Amino acid sequence: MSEDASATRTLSRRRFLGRCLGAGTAAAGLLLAPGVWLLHGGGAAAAAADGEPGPDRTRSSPRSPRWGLLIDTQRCSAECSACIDACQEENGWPEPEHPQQDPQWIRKVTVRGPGDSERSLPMLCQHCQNPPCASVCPTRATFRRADGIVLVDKHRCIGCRYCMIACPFQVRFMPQRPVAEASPNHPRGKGAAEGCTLCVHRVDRGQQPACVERCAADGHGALLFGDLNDPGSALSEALRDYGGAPLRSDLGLAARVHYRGLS
Amino acid sequence: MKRFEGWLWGGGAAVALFAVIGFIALLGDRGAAPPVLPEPQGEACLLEAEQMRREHADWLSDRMHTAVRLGERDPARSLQACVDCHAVPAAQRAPEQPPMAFCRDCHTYTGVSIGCFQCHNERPKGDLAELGGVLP
Ligand code: HEC
Ligand code: HEC
Ligand code: HEC
Repeated sequence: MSEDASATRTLSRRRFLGRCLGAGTAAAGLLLAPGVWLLHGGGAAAAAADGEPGPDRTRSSPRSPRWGLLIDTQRCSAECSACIDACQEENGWPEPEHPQQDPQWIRKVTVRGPGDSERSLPMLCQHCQNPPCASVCPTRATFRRADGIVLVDKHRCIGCRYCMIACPFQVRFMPQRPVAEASPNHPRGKGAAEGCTLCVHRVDRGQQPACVERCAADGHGALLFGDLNDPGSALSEALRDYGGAPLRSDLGLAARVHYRGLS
Repeated sequence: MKRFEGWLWGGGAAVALFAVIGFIALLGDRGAAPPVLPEPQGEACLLEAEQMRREHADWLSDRMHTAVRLGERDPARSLQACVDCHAVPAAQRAPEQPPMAFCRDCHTYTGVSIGCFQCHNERPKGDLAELGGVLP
């Protein structure tokens, strides 16, 4: 008798769970109001059908590109400012009135090496793999794209300047005055942090950054842009054959911008 | 019956007050006709005009996320595309009129304010070419 009772109880529990499941599935497709689903059945399939499959850019994979830059300081000359001019024209930042404060997405610095050797090199966002600017950003406005480009989403930037303080290379800037002329290439505004974007709008079109193009045409061909994930790219080959290292590798930032001829 | 008379009078007065206030509010609203928006260029909007009117805020917000954070830039669906079709060309602009009077006029009417054009360019590509500007 007691066995019988337990058998029916087990059965009824199973049936109860089964019913719950059935009800759950039915509810999953439940329409709460026109256009408002508790859980939309064909959602994933429908989404896949209306968009092109395309690459998943939200997650990095070994096959997605990893953009990098190699700067040959032996070729770069102190008198030349081709890369700076190109960047100003492309991204619409004006000649700085106060070089200590005004944006200079790319600037020339002179470094002194062992002995009296001096090298001139362009300094720009190093596009770190572990960007301190992104770690400190309270709104996640600064982020690293899957392809390694470090960007500010100015729509989220609250202008707190943490990133400017965190960056060891001083390549984050804050326009302090209203921007006079809006550039169609890169929207800029007072109070939103900015810095080199590696010309992300050009890279996404399959072009090279403006500085690289200009350096090859009018400068000394000291900049090389390419995909670090592709062992066959000119950049990877140059790094393999002639070497090059990120600045301050002791900080563990794994910058994507490499310099050659400094050591 | 006597007991409810006070309530009846009170209720009646409240209803009357509402009716009068509502009538005055309606009178004040008579002049607020929807603005006539500058004529857009091009054949049709990116979505049905109906849908765009209702959903452009969310649509733009989605585009700015996908373009900037996911890297799926699409010039045909950028804010510059809205500008190219909806901006008033320099030649037809009144002195105080901003190029994107199209957005501003309706937003003034609906009480919305946007800061997009503090950063984003609001001149159509045609104007930029005349000014010798840089084109993407
Ligand atoms: C602080 C400056 C700033 C403001 C204000 C701003 N944007 Fe942007 N916006 C940018 C930057 C920078 C980009 C990135 C451009 C790029 O990399 O191509 C961008 C990109 C976009 C894009 C994707 C690129 C394109 O044109 O399709 C959209 C859409 C967009 N913004 C919409 C808006 C809207 C809508 C507003 C107003 C609510 C707005 N933005 C306000 C700076 C700004
Ligand atoms: C190819 C040119 C073109 C582009 C690009 C375009 N529009 Fe339009 N838009 C039009 C035309 C034409 C109409 C009028 C359509 C109609 O009345 O049927 C219109 C209508 C509208 C309306 C409704 C206006 C009304 O009368 O109430 C809104 C809102 C609008 N567009 C917003 C936008 C926004 C926001 C963008 C950018 C995301 C955009 N449009 C991009 C051409 C364009
Ligand atoms: C027909 C009237 C109309 C026109 C034309 C119009 N808007 Fe709007 N817009 C609205 C209304 C109403 C809202 C508020 C409703 C909402 O947020 O959905 C709004 C909201 C917005 C918002 C969100 C604001 C916020 O604070 O959330 C943005 C961004 C915007 N519009 C951009 C534009 C741009 C850019 C254009 C010109 C291409 C434009 N709108 C043209 C009526 C209009």
